[in-house]
Amino acid sequence: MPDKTITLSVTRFDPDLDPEPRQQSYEIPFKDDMVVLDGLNWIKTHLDGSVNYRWSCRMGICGSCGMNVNGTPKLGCSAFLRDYLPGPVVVEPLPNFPVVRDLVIDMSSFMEKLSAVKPWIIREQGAIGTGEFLQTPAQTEQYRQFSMCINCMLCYSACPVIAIEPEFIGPAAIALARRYELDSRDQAGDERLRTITASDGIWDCSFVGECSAVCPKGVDPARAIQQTKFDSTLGVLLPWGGK
Amino acid sequence: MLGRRETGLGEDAASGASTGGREAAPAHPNRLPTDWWRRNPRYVLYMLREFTAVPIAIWMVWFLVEIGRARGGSAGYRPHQSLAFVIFSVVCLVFAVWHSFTFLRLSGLIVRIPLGERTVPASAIVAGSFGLLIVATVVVGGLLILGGR
Amino acid sequence: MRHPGPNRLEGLFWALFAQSAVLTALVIPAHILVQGVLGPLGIVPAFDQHYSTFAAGLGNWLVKLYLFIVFGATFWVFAHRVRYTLLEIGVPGGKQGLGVVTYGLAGLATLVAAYLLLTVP
Ligand code: SF4
Ligand code: FES
Repeated sequence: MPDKTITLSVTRFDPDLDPEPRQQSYEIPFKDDMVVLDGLNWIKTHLDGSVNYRWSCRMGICGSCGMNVNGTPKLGCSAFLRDYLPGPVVVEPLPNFPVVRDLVIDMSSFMEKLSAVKPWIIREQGAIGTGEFLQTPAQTEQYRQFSMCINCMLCYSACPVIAIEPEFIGPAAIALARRYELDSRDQAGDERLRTITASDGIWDCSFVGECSAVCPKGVDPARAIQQTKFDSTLGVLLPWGGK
Repeated sequence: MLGRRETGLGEDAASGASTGGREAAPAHPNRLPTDWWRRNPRYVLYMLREFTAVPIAIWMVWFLVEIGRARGGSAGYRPHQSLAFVIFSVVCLVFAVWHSFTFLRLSGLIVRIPLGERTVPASAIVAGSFGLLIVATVVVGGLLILGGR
Repeated sequence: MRHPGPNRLEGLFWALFAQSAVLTALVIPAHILVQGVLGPLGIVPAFDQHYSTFAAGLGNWLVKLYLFIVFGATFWVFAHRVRYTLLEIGVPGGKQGLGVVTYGLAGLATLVAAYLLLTVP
């Protein structure tokens, strides 16, 4: 072992054998430029090939490597071990999702919520593939921030409302609904709005704001939710109503 | 890089390995525990922000009590004057100001006022809200003082 | 399956909360500062420190209306925030159950405020 090491405490869970998830510690060599995902890969290669976790891009793009690092949802490939010195670093599966094995979670609830908001451009006429649909930089700026989402689900793990009301459609889905609503090329009208203002929609949110704090891509789902609350009640309650 | 050989399971392989062609074993629900709000300072500040509603409402109940006393006519009227009430009010005032600060700042950030193709910058809305708080405080406070002369 | 279509009742509750919270944010610090601190300490006069000025103020219908709205607003903000926070820290009762209790309490307190404001001389 090199002179410097760090300990990773990784959640292990095999539903066939373990009644409850448990933590297992691994001591690994530490280098300054290592991220949590590097640590897990080192464990898998050198210490224990049975550890399960998801990853793909290693660069904060694919959104597969979400995990709780010392209690906070992080991308494993973007969380540097040096920020958690001297350790141990506690690595757990993302909360608010069922654990399938070790750090691997069942994301089907998120997939249902995501598709419910139809996260694509809807056109009444002239499908988006049929030509050019021009947009000014200012128009792009209206939704650009919300379009950065990589579906990593960290925001769902940070959200206490999801824990209490699992059906809550949640931060990323609403941010993406907003992203398409604000797109000048989209013609879905209030279709998505009807979905996200339903029961289990935006009204479940109490603006804890942690979704925006943990988002690795600078998306601000909390803002998308409150904006939607505001816009969708304006017409009813304020004299200068409408959108 | 250390151990960066292609041995970690990618997404498909990992989820395949977990169910492996047999009946899926029950997964562990792993919800955030109900003491989530003690997990980090941001959560604690959220709780503090929501809690401001409690001292504000209690202070307003005391105001109602005072109005109730005034129904008995001048003879029985006793305004709140005790030191305990002042201390209680100072505590409530701190929470009330915290509510004003957090709510006006956050509502300024979320309100979206279209301005042609763009929107009015959030910083301008927040600054406007705080300006309004100062004006309202001067006007309401002034009227409460003038009404007592 | 998700049921599409807006939940107007929850929307109304939220809108009431948001407007009430704005009003609370703007006017409550002044009330507490003058009536709770400066007035009782005798630093400034305050309308509730003497019966004559208090009765004169409360006798004005605009003041009654204003105070009614402020009481309603602060109680509604209380109900809405307490409802969500209790739910989130795992208090049983569900969103609906807690809503009935908290909003009911706020409604009741607002009715009491209306009664007192209407019957004060
Ligand atoms: S909004 Fe942010 S935290 Fe949530 S899924 Fe998208 S990228 Fe991840
Ligand atoms: S591995 Fe793709 S985001 Fe981390």
